[in-house]
Amino acid sequence: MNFNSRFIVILMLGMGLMLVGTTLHARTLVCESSDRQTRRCPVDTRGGVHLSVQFSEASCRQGSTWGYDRRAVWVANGCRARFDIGASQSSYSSNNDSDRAALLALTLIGAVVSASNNDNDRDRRGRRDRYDYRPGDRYQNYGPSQRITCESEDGRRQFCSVNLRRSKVDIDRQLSNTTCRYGDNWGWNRRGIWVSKGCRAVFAVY
Amino acid sequence: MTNFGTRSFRGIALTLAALAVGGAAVAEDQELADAAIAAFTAADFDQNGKVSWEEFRNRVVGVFGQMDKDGDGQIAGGELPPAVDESGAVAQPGTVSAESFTASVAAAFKASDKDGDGELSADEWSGH
Repeated sequence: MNFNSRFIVILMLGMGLMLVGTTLHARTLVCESSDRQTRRCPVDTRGGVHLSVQFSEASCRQGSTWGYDRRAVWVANGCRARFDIGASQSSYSSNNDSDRAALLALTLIGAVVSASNNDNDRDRRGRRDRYDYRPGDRYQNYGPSQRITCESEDGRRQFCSVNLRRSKVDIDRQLSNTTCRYGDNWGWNRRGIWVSKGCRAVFAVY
Repeated sequence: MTNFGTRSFRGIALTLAALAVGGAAVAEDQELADAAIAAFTAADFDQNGKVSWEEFRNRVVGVFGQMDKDGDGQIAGGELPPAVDESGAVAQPGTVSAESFTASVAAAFKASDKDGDGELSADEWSGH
């Protein structure tokens, strides 16, 4: 083996090690949908994608408001999140604010888990939403102002009129077996919510 | 430091209710249980009788996102609601990052997922 051949072998070994390093260590990617628009964040996803931290109040549901193909992660309808790209997953547990975070988590979990979301029950108690909770009564403002059921029958497009000026819309409950994917078979504008291709759901208006 | 890993959601709910209204919480135990089931049904997005991590995360982290008024991924100062720990002491104000919050919520979810299938049944949700 002459010098050039030896150099090429060493170079290839080095590149191989670099590739191994890239594969084994997860990279992170923050991908954010602003103004409801679907956004593609280019990245090589062949090692897999895992949503590690959700930042948005808008839901991030895989296949509906986020997903990925070989070349990119996409997010829609306000989903904002950090994604781990690659085999391993990030861990966030030893930060300085962990005690405070645990307490906040405890409070919000308690509020969410124990708060009724039944309309009749809410009416009976005079409560406004599912996140209200007595300590400080600080959760009354967190929850949808109304819910709209909109259904695509026989695959036909349906428009459900509702004034959505200054509002945000999210799926509260999917009624159809068909996955409701934002921008594909459902969406909304200032005048209302549209569904198509068999998407049936209860929509939350915030 | 509070150990959240062994606490059931029902325990969490009752603890918070007890902190809020004292002995009245005992009388409202059934009401709380009923509300918990209603909340479970509401969180079960695909109505398969179980609440997945994704469904749970969207429910809880969604509230975090609403509290994060400036959308910077953390709750600080006036965004942070008043809270008390198990002894009733008021928690000191500070900053909570979305990362730490998610880790805490995930730990609580995992602790309640007794059979380790990655989803919460109604019983697991209620701490039975």
